[in-house]
Amino acid sequence: MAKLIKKISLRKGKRRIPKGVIHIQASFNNTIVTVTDIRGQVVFWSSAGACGFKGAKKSTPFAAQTAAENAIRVLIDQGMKQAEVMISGPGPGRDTALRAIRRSGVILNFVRDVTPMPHNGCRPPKKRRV
Amino acid sequence: MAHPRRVKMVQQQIHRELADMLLHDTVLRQAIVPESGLGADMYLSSMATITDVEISNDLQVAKVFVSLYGDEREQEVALEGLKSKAKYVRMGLGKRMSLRMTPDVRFVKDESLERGSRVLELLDKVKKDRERKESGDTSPRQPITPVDDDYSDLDLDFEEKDDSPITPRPKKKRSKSKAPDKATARKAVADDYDIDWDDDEFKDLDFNDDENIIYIK
Repeated sequence: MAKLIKKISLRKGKRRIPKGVIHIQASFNNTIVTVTDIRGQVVFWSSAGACGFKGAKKSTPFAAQTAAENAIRVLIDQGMKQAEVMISGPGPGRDTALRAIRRSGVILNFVRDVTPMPHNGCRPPKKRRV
Repeated sequence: MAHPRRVKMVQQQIHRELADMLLHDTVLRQAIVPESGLGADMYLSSMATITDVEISNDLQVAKVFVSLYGDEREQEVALEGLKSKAKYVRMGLGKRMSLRMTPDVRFVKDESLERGSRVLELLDKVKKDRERKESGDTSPRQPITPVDDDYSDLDLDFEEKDDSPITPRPKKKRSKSKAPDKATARKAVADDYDIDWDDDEFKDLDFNDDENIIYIK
């Protein structure tokens, strides 16, 4: 007898993902690196704040590098060989995080910039006065 | 002479405005990455990031350190594009910020990140080589092979759970003289290379099947 079991939600635990997507969100104050599979389901995330940096040190490129290295360690454990990188946001962490990913030996398929760009939509916050 | 705190604030604000301009301004983006004019802006070949801004005490000259990512040629193209748009950038900065006199913007290539990355790469390599020597592994390093487009890990299909009693799969009869014994073959190869044979992959392969031969004309 064949029973149909929907396996999408029941799968838990360690999966081996050969291909994945790395999202780097580099804002002015922090850098968040999220690793997902191709569908977009998050596998692991790491950020500059999660690596122990606080305050002004979170916004440095070195903190972004540490966050990226943290994420890559998990990637290699999961067996990921190919990855696509999606970078979003201005911020000093963009470059260093990308270089850290390059250094790790994972093959990069694409490097894309997915900063959200409005076609003149919502009103932006007011100008900062200096 | 401006107050040092004010200088710092202006410096930070210039950093933010310039980073924003690099991202959103179409003229600048076309200057840095010429392919974006053709519509290929999402798939980056090179990227410019502002790492630091140094401004003089009287707020007249701003040195912007730009870190470029990409090939040699693309880095040159991006830097040339930025330098040619220095006046446009200054005008844009003046529009966005209300300063008495907008500082003169000069772009400088920032090599420190690249150099640091290279040093780290070399250090990693040295560490790996040392680890391999210590573990006594003298086999040549295997290159990373690209993975096929295999979406089997997506779990998109419903999987059938078979409750029927297990019947052994009919195996093709292979004469013993042709194929070597699996255990000895495995051992002979395993001594040379560090490979773990995965039985599930190789169970169904039949090397004596002539239909699998592809003739290249």
